Parts: sequence; structure tokens; C-alpha cells
Amino acid sequence: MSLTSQVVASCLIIPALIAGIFAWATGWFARRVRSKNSDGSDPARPNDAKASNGLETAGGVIAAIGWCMAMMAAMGMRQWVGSETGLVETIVGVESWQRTIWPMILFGIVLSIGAATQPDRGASRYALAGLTAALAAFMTLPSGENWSDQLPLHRSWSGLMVASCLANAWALESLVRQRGDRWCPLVLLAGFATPAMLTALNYAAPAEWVLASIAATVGATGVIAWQASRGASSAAWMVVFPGCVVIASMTMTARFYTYEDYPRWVYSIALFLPAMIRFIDLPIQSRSWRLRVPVAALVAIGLMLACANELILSEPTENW
Amino acid sequence: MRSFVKSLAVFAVAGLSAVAGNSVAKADGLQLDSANSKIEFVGTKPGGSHDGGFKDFTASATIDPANPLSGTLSIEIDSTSLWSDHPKLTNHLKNPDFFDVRKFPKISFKSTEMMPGESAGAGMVKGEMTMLGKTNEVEFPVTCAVDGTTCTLTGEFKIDRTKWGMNYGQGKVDNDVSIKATLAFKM
Repeated sequence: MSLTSQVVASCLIIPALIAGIFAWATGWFARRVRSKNSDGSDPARPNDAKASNGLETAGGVIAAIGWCMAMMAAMGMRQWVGSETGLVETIVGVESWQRTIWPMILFGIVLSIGAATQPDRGASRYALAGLTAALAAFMTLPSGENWSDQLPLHRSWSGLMVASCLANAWALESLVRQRGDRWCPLVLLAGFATPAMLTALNYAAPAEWVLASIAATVGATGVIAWQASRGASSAAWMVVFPGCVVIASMTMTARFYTYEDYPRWVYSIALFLPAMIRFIDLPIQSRSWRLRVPVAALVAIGLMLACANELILSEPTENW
Repeated sequence: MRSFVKSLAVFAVAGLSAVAGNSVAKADGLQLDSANSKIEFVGTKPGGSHDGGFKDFTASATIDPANPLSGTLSIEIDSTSLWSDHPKLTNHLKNPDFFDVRKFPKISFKSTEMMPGESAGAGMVKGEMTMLGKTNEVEFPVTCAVDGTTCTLTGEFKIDRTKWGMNYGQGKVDNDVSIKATLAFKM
């Protein structure tokens, strides 16, 4: 199988299918629960009165775990299978960026379970999520004798990674609370764009993983849109939680594995684009989605184009 | 003198996988002319190729003109000195997809056997090349051209990068990498 075929299968088709199947299961779960609600209330939104019942939004946990499974499948097919190191070492993560997968799952589970069971107790679950984000930063930072020259960057980038995970997760969850559950995965997708560019320019293996996260999110988003077109909604938007860790960790990986000096504003957009979009959305959050979505899209496209111009378009177009 | 040149050709070829840039190697009175020595590689892909090389290395050599086949050569490359014809490619080549220079900052070669060639000034060298933490045997020919007080040894050969675990991009980037080394020794 050629490299292109391997990447398409491992980083596009399989992750999209797995995430889509789990998102569909989430919708199925929501419909089953809703059919038992005497008032027919929608369990998909955490601000719904019925959402305080954990059972109703537990489907969101299914979607988040499914998204993580999709990412694990991509990691397994491209990094674990055929690895010449020991099985345990391979699965734990030979390269620092590969170790991100475990705290990513933890982060996704902590926030999705919290959003499902205790939607009104954000402080405590975000505090716990902050700890898992710190763990993710600790595990993702490349360390060792050969990285000693990069030690001065560790403290600031650890802080940035934790801040990115929490700010983006909060932004996306608050977007859902303001009737944005059907399009918040699109904001996450926009958030992947700059980390994808940064990694693709420097280190292909994590770039493939970002590609897998895009595919998994597209798969989940497609199912969410399909369910919405049938008048049903689900808590599958919770796939955004683990996605926030991918944004932060892959941006940090790109920073540590590059030998080029990219502007700080590029890293800022890479780390915080979902939060930036939510910030722009705040003044108009009570308005119709017909205004909010185009505004969010314009902001996202503008920021992505600025990064693309800085990283790619202003450089020679030769493909190496 | 003919025997001497032949022996020189034999030992110097062992450095083919490593010699470049600013290094200096002494071999029983012979000194590598770093300004005129270089090691380069050519990576190919369907429809294109890129040039690259290493700027820094160290080398040590021994040679006995009376018994040229007993000569040895050890070379160590600073893999972080890697360069290529495209800055972004250089960036990518340094990362774990290819040379992983953070984890493996050295590439080394140590000769194990010198063999005479069929003509004067030609020889074969066999040795162990360590890259990405893996050691494989390589064998390659060398030729020597004498010009005044300078003996220039040139060798070209190919290695299969996947033997050292450099597996990324198979199908997009050819496995065989051409190496061309030019070693200039002051006699």
C-alpha cells in the first residue's frame, strides 16, 4: 500500500468512520432517553432543564470516547503498527507528542462526564481538567539531554498549553450553552487549521495525527448535521473536549520541532482560535445563528488565511 | 609512491559516508584539506531530487604505507550540521521523520576492511555505519587523483535508508540515497 493510501485510510477514512459511528450512537442514545421523557425535552443541551439528569447527556461521553478511539486508531495504524520498539514503549509513546493521546483521553472524559452529570458545576470540573491539561503538557514537552537548550521554554509553553486547553474547551462549551451545539464542532475544525500547517511544515508524523483529528471531527460533525436535519440532536458536540488537547499539544510539538522562527501571533492563533471566535461571538450570542455563524466563519477564515499567508503563501511554492 | 597513493585511496574511501565541511583528519602525516573536502547526498523522489550534506565532522585515520590494507578510518558526523537545498526541507530532515538529530546527533563510520582495487588509485572499503542508533555494514569503491601535493579521493555509492530505520515517506521518497564524498589530502 502506498504512503498516500496508508494516510488516507489511517488518518482520514478510519477516524471519520469511528467518530461518526460513535456520534450516531450518541444520537441514538439521546433519542431513546428522550422518548422516555414525558415532556419530550431535549437532553442534548446542558442548559436544558432535563440535562441535570446525567443519564440523558451521557451520550456525549460516548461521542467523546469515540472521538478518542478514532484518534487512537490513527495512532495505532501509523505509529504503533510496525514499530520496532517494544510494545509497551510503543503504546506509551516513543516520541513525546505520541504520549499526548493518554492525557487527551483523560481530559475528554473528565469534561464530558462533568458536562453530562454536573453542567452547573463548571469550576470543579475545569479545575480537574486543568490538572489533566498540565499532565498533557508535562508528557508532551520533549525532554532529555538533547533538549536541554529548550528548557527555558518549558515553563511558558506548559502554561500556554494548559491555558489553551481550558480556554478553548470553555469557549466551545459555552457556545453550546448559547444554542451553538450544531456548529461548535466547526469551530473546533477551524482550530485545527493552524496546528495542521505548523506541524506539516516541520514534522509529518504529528501532522498526520492532526489530519486524523480533522477527519474524526468531520465524521462526528457530519452525523450531528444529519441528525439535526431529521429534527434530532445529540450531545455529540462533546467531541470538542479532547480536540482541544490536540490543538494545544500539536502546536507545542510544532514549536519544539521547528528550526525556524515563526511569529508569536501565529502561535497565538494556533493555540486560541476557538476561544477567539467565541470572544467575537459573545456580543451577538443572543442573535440568530444566521448572523452568528457567518461572523464566526469570517473571523475563522480571516485568521486562518493570515496564518497560511505567513507560513505557506509567502514562501517559495516548491514542494519538497 | 604508487603504493602509497593506492593505500591512501584505500583508507580514505572509508570516509565517504561522512566527510564534509570544516573538519580536519590527520593520517600519519596526511592532513585533510577541509576546504576542499565535502560529503553530499542526493535524495530522490518520483519526479524530482534534492541535494544535501553535512557541514561538520571529525575523523581519525591510521595508515601504514608498507601495509596499506591495515589502514583504518573512523569518522563522526555532527548530524545537526545537516543542510539541504531548501530551508524547509532542512527543517524537516532534522526531525524524527528522517535524521532525528535531537535524539541521534551523531552519525559514525568505522572501517573494518580495506581492499585493493583492480587499478592503481582505486580501492574498496568495508565498514560499519551507525545512524539513528542502528549499525549496518557498507562497502563502496573509491578512486584517487593526485595533483601536485594533493590527493583527492572521490567515491559515490548508494545506501538504503530504511536499513537504518529511516522509513518515513516510502513511496513518496525513494529508499536509496546517493552519497558522494570528496576528500582532499595534503601529502
